[in-house]
Amino acid sequence: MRFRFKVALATGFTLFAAVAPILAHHSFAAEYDATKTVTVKGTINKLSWVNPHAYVFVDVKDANGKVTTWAFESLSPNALSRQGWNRNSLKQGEEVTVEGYMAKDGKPLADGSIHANSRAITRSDGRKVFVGSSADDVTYK
Amino acid sequence: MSKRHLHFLLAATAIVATLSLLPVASVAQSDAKTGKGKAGQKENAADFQSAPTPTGPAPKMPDGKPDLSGVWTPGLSFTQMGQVPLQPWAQEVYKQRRDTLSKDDPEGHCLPAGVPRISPFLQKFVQTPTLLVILDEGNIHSYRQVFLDGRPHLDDPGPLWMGDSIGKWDGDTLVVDTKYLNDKTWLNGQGLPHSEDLHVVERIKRPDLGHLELEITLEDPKTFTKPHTFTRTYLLRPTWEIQEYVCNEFNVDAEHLVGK
Repeated sequence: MRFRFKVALATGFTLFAAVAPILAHHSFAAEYDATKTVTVKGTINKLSWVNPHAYVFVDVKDANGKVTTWAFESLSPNALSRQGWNRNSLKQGEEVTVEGYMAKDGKPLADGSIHANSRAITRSDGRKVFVGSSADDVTYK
Repeated sequence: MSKRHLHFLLAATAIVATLSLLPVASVAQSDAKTGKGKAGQKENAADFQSAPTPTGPAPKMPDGKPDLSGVWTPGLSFTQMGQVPLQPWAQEVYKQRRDTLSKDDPEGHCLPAGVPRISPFLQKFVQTPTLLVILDEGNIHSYRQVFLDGRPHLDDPGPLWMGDSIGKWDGDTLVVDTKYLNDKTWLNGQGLPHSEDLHVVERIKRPDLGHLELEITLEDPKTFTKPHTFTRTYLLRPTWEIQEYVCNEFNVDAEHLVGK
């Protein structure tokens, strides 16, 4: 019990200390439109835990059953991990709601997915993960 | 588990749950039970990462010089440069870069930041009696070697991304002199330009265990009408470590940076 208490406490303080800076290696405003917000509901197609930004691919079904894949840019893996998230924080096939911003150029990624930037992802139990966006990056302000 | 422990655990869990949802710029409340300094102490505008900064005397090297080693966060101080007095051509370039929303920032293309530009990513200082190595987690992984062995500057190695740095002690202050920088890097995210004549002097002090104070002077008569000095404060993060950040892995941004 004492051990579990210590582990819980250690986990708590790790997270306590882990509110990390928001940053991107590029200017948010040069790539995304802060006025074009979007909220989509869908299922996780895959999570790409890659640099310089993690990408969350979400399949969205329209009224006719047609599936479109969205690609949401998130923070960098090191920024996400300092806030306590990892590549298992989202599971393939789970339902999510993503809030974000559309890319300015309106062009899809090379795989055809719709390109946007996420600021938070809400899981079906209401828990938010991958909170934060390069929209809040102070480097370019 | 005792009742007291349970209460503490519940409180800690609640704090963590709340904090994990807070906006990034918020500052955590203090918890005196960590025993590691004042957790979440709001020291200055730079302390936006809500981690405790340890207190105590600065460590010394065996030769008595200050040891600057550690994992450091610049907090928000990386954005604070003050007003740099620019020559007319530089004003024009700066305006053009700001007008196009920094779309051509070399960092967006995963190129090195140069000196003295930094990002809020962590920096790890590793010091020996004859060498200081600065490992930059990002924006791209890069390193600086500051030679402390008394050698002079290189004999014109050509323009370099991170320059040629030598350091000398002035009492407890390390004076780092950097030359031979290329003119491709920006001095900040808005596009502040410089020429290859840029000469950077960083005066680095560790007044106590948890703080590193830098006074940085930029000299570049081609770009600035007079030398410009500004300061930064880094905070020690003893429980953090630099991590991988391989910028070119999936940099799909480059082709989508359209500006306006």
